[in-house]
Amino acid sequence: MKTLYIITLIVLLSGCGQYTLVPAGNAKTTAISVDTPIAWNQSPFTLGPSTTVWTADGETLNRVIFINGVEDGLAVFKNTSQDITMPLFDKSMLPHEIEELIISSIDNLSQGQVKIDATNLRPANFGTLDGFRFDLEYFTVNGLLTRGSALATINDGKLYAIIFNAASLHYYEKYSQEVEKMFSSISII
Amino acid sequence: MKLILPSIILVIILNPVVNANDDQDDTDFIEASRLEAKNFGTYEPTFEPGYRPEISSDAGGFWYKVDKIEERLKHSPVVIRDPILNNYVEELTCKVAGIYCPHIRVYIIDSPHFNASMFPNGMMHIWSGLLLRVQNEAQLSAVLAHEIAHFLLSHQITQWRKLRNGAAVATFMDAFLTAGFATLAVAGNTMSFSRLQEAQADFYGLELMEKAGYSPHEAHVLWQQIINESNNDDSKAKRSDFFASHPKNEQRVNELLDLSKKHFSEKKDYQLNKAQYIDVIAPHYLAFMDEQIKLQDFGRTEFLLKSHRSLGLPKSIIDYFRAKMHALRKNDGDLEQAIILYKNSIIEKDTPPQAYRDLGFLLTKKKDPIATEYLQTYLRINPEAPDKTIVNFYIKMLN
Repeated sequence: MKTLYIITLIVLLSGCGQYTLVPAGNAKTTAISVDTPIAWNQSPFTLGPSTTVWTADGETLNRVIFINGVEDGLAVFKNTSQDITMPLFDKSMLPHEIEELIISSIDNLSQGQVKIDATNLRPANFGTLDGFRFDLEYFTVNGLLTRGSALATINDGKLYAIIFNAASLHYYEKYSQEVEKMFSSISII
Repeated sequence: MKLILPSIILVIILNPVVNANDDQDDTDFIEASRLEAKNFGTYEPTFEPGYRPEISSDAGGFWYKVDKIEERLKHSPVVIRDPILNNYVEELTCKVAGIYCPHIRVYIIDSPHFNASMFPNGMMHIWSGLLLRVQNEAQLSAVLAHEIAHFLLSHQITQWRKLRNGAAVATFMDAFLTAGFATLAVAGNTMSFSRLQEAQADFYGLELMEKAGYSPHEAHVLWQQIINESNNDDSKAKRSDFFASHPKNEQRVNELLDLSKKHFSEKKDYQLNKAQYIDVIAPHYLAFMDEQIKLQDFGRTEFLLKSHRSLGLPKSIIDYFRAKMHALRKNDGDLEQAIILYKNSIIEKDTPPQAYRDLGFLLTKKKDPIATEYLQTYLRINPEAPDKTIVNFYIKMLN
């Protein structure tokens, strides 16, 4: 019986927490398609029902978050604290409000403990759609300076976005060109 | 004498590990205060200025760790480094701490909550949210005196020795040393003082502020203000303030009031230095309130804005933040009210340029072509605005 428990435990443990390889080339999430020049690892942990997370070296060092069409009235990420709830997406939001929504949502992932500077909000193409981009910079709760860039659009009343963030030291620069190529090849499926 | 542990009174944001039995705590505090009041006027520092424990002692080991925390904090982005503001708070600290002044180092922390803390090695934290709530120099001296009293009475050593064998201290130190400053909020409450120690710090604090020339009557006035604000808390993050680890009840105010009346004349010519305080805080008001607004605690924000107006802070900026609050809250009628308040703000002098921008944004959302005028005014006043690209985009979109 004891052996059975151990085997069951091993099976259960091996079934969770596994990253899956996303090879270089065209890759698709549930709603977004990009061409990626490098391979990524898709995280088994989602930040919300409409998100996909990729990383190259580990999520604390670099991370690409896809927002796969959040519906009107829903949050971008799931709540991680009962005390600080995620802000809700509203399909009538203007770009500066979406910027605020995204940075508040990222901040709330850390229970509101990081102060994110969002800059350079500007119009940008999201594939063939009108979208906008902005840059972000913040210190994580561990004191790691992190930089990032986000591209977003609203299509048919749903929010789509790709957000790249990485440790400012080394990792941001290391992948910025690859991420730019992904941004420029993006489309909604 | 001996070792002094951190007088942690930090906010509980992530896990509100507030006291599970507040009623019992309040009862304890009332009893502790009643008994302690008899000792008023007898307090003395428990160590000599410049005291430092031997590194080989238990106290010395702890100081070493706290020194490491301070080294890290010195380079942290959470510290506000404006020299005028820092000099002002440091000078006031010195007035209250007297000969202990050279051994206390003040760090102003950029956080919108009401809090302060004192560490055994002389490191003191004052949070920007505290500066937003204090209404004059005398009230700030009350907080400083309370913290310095814990320091001079070596309260930390009692707590340290009581807790050092338990998980609380380990959790606390680990949070400090491995997880960064912000995470302190989670662990802070594990190290809160006993109710007796709080009563002692309150009472000794009254003596210290009086010696520095400030009216001790301002202590109970300040705590009453904070209680009143706390009663307006409608945020999700309840008790994100001083009271997360400090006695909350009205009894504290009453004890301070009674002792102040009994021992200190209300007629004496004490300093309040309200104008001096406002002069130093005013240049930071926009930045401090901006952080408060982001908490989206509309009840507290509304309360604060009312009190700031009565202090004489500029109406244009108060109206700007009232407008922002309504724009964020989005209840029925809020957006209309926000538009009115933005307009009120911009007819005043000294309006923040952002008032034009935010009004323009609101009207852009309503597809009102008048938005263009406000957005153009914003760019005219602030031609190098960091967000000029998106503002120009909205102007183009409206046209």
